Amino acid sequence: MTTRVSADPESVERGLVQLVLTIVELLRQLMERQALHRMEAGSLSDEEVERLGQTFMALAERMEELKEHFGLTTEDLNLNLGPLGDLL
Amino acid sequence: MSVLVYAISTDDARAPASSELHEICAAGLRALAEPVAARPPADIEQLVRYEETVETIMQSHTILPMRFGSVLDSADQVRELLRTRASEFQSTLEHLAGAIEYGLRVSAPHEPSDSDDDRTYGGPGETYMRRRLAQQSRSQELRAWLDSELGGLVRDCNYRAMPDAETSLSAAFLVDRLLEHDFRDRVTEISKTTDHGLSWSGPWPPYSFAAGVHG
Repeated sequence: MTTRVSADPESVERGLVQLVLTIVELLRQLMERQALHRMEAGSLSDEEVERLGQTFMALAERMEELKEHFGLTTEDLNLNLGPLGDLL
Repeated sequence: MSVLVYAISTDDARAPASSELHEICAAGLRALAEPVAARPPADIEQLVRYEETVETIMQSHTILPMRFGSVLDSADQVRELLRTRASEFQSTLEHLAGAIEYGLRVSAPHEPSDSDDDRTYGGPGETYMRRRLAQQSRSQELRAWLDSELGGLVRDCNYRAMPDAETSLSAAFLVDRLLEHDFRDRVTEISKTTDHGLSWSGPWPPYSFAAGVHG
């Protein structure tokens, strides 16, 4: 598509941060869902559940800090994939 | 001069008489846009004015509402956008024809059962994981519940599990205008009979169902 949308350096930087955080959040959610699935299936030991839980908890807290730092909301960290629906 | 696009509609759409919007046509579509010298600031006054204008257009036309700040360099670029994505815009307009959006948020925190109380978890990590499992399960139950209660009254729906700490599930419903009163009556009815916290909003322009046009 050759249409160009007006853009200034500040909005480009914000868009890049938004995209990077969206991908990080996607990976965090995918890993957490996989871990929850394995936990439900009983394939994780208690020690593994504890260690994973602490990791995901720390990642979630860090993501909240980053969103606050860059002035982004949870709604901002998403991509619409048209007929496939939302990314997150 | 740049243009701020408010909405895209079919080529019979007209700008509200009270507005200063221009109609930009191409490929059987019509964009309603305002010439601007620069991207407007994202302050409350501008956002409210933008939203009110989009809602005014929505009263009489099926629209693809644009996000605030959709500025293109010229009317020619808007025409090019309409031409290059005409098929996508037209099929989305057909899906949205005669419908509006309602939002619904459900607050139904997981309540620990007796068995939960008796269980001693290993530590904060396991407690976090078990809480996430319970929240996930709760969201799935609520989605099935809303599907059964409202499914016959909506054309389409989007769900988002746990969008924030207070909300278990948020939903956007695409509702046919002819069924709008039935939908609202049904939501009022179920909010009286359920223990879940329900809050609804709308009617809105169908932002949640036209999101693909912003890509």
